[in-house]
Amino acid sequence: MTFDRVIVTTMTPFWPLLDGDEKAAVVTEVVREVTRSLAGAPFHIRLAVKSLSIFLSLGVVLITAGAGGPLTRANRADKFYRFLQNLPGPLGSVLRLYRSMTLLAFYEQTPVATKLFSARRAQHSRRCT
Amino acid sequence: MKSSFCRTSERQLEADAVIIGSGAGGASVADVLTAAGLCVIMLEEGKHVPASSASPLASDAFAAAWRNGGLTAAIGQPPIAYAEGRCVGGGTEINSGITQRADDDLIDQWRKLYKIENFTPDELAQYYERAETAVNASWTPGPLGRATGILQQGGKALGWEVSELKRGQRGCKGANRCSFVCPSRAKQSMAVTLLPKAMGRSMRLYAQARVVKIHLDKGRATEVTAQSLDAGGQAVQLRVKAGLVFVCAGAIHTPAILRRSGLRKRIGNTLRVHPTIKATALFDDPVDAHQSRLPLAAVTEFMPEQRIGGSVFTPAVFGLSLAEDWANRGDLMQHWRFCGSYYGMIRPRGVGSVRSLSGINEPLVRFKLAPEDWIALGQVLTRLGQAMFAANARKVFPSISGHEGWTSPDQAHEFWHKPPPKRRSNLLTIHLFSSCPPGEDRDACAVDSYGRVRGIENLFVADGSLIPEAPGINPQMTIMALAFRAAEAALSHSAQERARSAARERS
Ligand SMILES: Cc1cc2nc3c(=O)[nH]c(=O)nc-3n(C[C@H](O)[C@H](O)[C@H](O)COP(=O)(O)OP(=O)(O)OC[C@H]3O[C@@H](n4cnc5c(N)ncnc54)[C@H](O)[C@@H]3O)c2cc1C
Ligand code: SF4
Repeated sequence: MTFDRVIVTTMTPFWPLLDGDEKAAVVTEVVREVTRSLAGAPFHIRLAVKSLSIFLSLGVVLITAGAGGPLTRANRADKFYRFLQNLPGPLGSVLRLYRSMTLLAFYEQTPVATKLFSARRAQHSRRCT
Repeated sequence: MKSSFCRTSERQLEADAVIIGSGAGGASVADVLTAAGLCVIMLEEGKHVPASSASPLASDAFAAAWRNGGLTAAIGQPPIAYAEGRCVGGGTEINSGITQRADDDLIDQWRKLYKIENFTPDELAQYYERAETAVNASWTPGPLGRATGILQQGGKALGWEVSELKRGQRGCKGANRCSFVCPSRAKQSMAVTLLPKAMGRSMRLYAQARVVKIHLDKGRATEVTAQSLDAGGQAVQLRVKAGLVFVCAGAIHTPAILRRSGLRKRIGNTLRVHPTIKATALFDDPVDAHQSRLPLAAVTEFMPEQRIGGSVFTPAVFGLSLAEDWANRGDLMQHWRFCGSYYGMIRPRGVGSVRSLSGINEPLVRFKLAPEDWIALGQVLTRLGQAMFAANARKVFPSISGHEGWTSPDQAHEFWHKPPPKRRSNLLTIHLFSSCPPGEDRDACAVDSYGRVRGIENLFVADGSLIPEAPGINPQMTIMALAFRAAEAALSHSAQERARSAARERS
């Protein structure tokens, strides 16, 4: 969970903009969601994630240490991820998995979805109920 | 007999027949057997997800109804992500309900190649009709929306055949939630149609009961063991004795169960899928794909070899799809209303395998694309790009990590003469079959022409594993048709007849 948090925090998108408290609550929910999804993954994926997330999160902590704001931290982490993504082996797949789970969970959070849809509120919308 | 979706604390059970898996194949077998008055037990690994508890969130739905939350992949270069349902109703609870029949020429080709008895388009027609009636295959009412219009506009501008797709639905309300379990019971999935019908007759369904092994003795399946939970949530082992055993756990888990039970000959060696590559198209005008039905038309000009269609779209699912290249494509999220998600699917020549691993629940799945498949993927991607530009797309991003996207139809020709890059192409599939092909060609076929496992008189396969090769269409109707046929054959061949055939096969 701690390792998940370090990674997920740096992968959480900046758009749509959320205010400080809102963002913290959203990130907490996203981390919970990502941890839940990973727990349901097949054994070999869980194994890869467990062993590599320690390395990844430590790397992120080191690389982002001393970076000023969250944007600089996220940019540094992104560069690190891009470097790792190009290496052969399972690291790239684990990163991609974290990214996928983070994005899915983030855009499903109520405050985020509300912002995404806000421009559309006035329009007719058809839903399955 | 008690008819309910229940968990169990019982240990020893007996019935005329046991069915493993409650998806398209299993439910169809249940329909035939219970109509004939048999007392049936169905064992299903997943939970029952009632419409009333269907969540609009993809993450909840993936956790509740998709195997491993959707995180499954066949090993290969590249790996192919695949999706299966794991709930009461199997894949039919999370699919789009599109109904199609296999091409007549393909059926004829399979009959000849695998020496399948009584397997002509005419002979299969009655089973297709039964499947289509069971799910009310019909045109979806109301306007189909811009996401469908894009495929129609693009395909028609290029002079290609574009077809509207019938679906198993009754009063479909509209938006894109079919993959998350339909909240209004409009989708005619197995949990809405054949399963309640069978339970109203003489079937008991045990959810959250994972079959571990089928015990065999002297050419007969004697008992099925499953791990389940008792009423207090404690693990309990179920042992089911039955005269007929139907394995309907899908094209991955049927061969895995059979192999775990010691049956390995030609089983799980010929897995086929429909390798699929997606593209995101950005338009100048809003598409608002989340508000309309999922695209209910497909470019059918190149079927059965290649098909172009559209995908389920919600902002979050769209965000998820951008994970493949977030650094370059993350900005698209700000224009999500102007984007559509489309795919090209091929009928491959490559083959995969399924192997059970001791001590681990999930089998090892591999798939190797043939060189021709890469050519076909390049072609279908080109055609997909062309169709999008013909529908006035501003930019098209093929699902290739690091690809900068195309801004003109000419650029979309990039992969016409050279295959897409193997390592960076992101492939997926939602169609799995052929892991136990039927027929009398003993060198190629795992089961006989009607699904009976060779050498075993009372053990049958009746699910996607039975489709001889990739059909190039949505497979549910074919799976149901073949399962109806297998169940009818099991009832019409006497036990003595089957025992004699099995003995001959063992000698
Ligand atoms: C997202 C998605 C969209 C799709 N869209 C369409 C579409 O529009 N039209 C179409 O025709 N097809 C579609 N398909 C494909 C279609 O749903 C499947 O081909 C079909 O459901 C497969 O039927 P089956 O009987 O082979 O297996 P399944 O339906 O997968 O059923 C197998 C069942 O067996 C259970 N099982 C597995 N192992 C065990 C075990 N050890 N013990 C007990 N139970 C077990 C599983 O939990 C599952 O419920 C789609 C699939 C997906 C995933
Ligand atoms: S579009 Fe909505 S109402 Fe129609 S079948 Fe799908 S989930 Fe059900």
